[in-house]
Amino acid sequence: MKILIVGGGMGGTILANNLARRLRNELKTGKASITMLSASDKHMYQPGLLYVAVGKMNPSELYRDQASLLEPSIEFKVDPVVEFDLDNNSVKSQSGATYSYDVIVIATGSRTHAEGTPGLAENAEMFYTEADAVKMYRRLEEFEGGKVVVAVGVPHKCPMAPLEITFMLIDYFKQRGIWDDVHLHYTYPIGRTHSLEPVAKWATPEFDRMGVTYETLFNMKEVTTDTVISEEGSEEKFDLLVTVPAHKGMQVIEDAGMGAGGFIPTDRQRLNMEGRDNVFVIGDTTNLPISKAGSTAHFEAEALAENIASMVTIGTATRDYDGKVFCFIEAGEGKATYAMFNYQNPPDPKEPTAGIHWFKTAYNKMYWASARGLL
Amino acid sequence: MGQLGNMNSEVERLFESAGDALSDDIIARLAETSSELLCIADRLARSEGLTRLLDLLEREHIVNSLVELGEAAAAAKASHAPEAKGGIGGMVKTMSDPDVQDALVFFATMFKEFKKG
Repeated sequence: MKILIVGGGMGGTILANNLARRLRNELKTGKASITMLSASDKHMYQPGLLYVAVGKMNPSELYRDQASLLEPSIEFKVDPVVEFDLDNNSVKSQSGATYSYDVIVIATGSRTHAEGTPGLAENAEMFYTEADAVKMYRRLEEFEGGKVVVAVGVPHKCPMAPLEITFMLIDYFKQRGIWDDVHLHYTYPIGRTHSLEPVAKWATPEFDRMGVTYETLFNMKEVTTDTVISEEGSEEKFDLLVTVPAHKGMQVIEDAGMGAGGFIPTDRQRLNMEGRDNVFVIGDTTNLPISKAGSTAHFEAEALAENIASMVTIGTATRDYDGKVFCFIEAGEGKATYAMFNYQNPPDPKEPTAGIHWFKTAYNKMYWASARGLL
Repeated sequence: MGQLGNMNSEVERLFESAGDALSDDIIARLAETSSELLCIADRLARSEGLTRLLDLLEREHIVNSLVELGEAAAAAKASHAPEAKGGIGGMVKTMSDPDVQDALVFFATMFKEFKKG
């Protein structure tokens, strides 16, 4: 069975390594093969960008050579897909090559779509690329006080990012001794401070306690050099605007007409593209109404690896993805908490502790073992 | 109860001081080292080469040979043998030593087997 994995991010990498371990004998005897096509020879630990933006990590800590993370039995090529021909089980790549497959997994991820809001990219700081995170840190270093507004677009990667950046900014300003000169204002697109109700119930009193003001039902419409205007009609003046912008799926998915906004309609349990039995989707690329988080990609990859391995060995899938997501939440003051949930059970974030903050700090470094399929 | 209470308080203070002594940097370094060690251990555990090497090391005669080789190397280093004088005469004298001939046969056989593999 020829297994083709498109995308070498967190989901694609964990899936490929997990499969290579499960199918060790089949790969050796030629009964199965795994090929990964990626846009880059480098693998980035994307959650680390949040820390780069507040000067807690250096960009060099975020990268490893992709090939060094993969099992030797995986054929790895830096040759991004430019065209999908799902009816004929093949894809065309940037180099002009055609790759055929029996099973394809699409894990191409998502990208920011700040340009969808006029003025946002030019006037706000964000942290979804290395360049943006470094730029934001430099801007913070120059900041001496005033009104900071956090504004959020939808859908966006990492559901906890708006809360985490808010709490981490408080720590940053306190460490610089300018917190008393800062007015931090948090805005959120729906009628509470977070999309997950239990998380909103935890975060809102934390904002009150820390002196953060907030405004809900605030959907960015337009941004000028000093004002962010919402669809709902309110305006917020700012000295510094920090945004978690809306995200889209990758262009190649949009161009192929495989899903609105570049997000592919996906079966929530088997993770196959709707209407296709040999096309699977994981990570940010799915249209599932669950968090676009690294842990989502991780748990989806584990379930899917088990299923594809079973398809090779016994001819049928054996497991359903249960919607599991685990998100750390940096809560400031050297503490963190987490939200864990699945399709059946909502999250229930507990009181933040230093221990969970250290767990998160440790995970930032242990991620590479996770990508290799060990954790 | 008093002693138990004291012990609890000691343990609590121990954890508290450990917590105070730690920093994000220390945690990050420890985690990074553990992660790398885990990856190395995983690679070693799944390495076919290492498995075969371990199989060999379980054979008594292999272990004995290795031990003898190590002992011989240590003895050679410790012995104060006179420096070689050089010349054809010196070479003939050395080669006529039965121990030297044994050693040459051993290495010749070993390299022959190595080439077969």
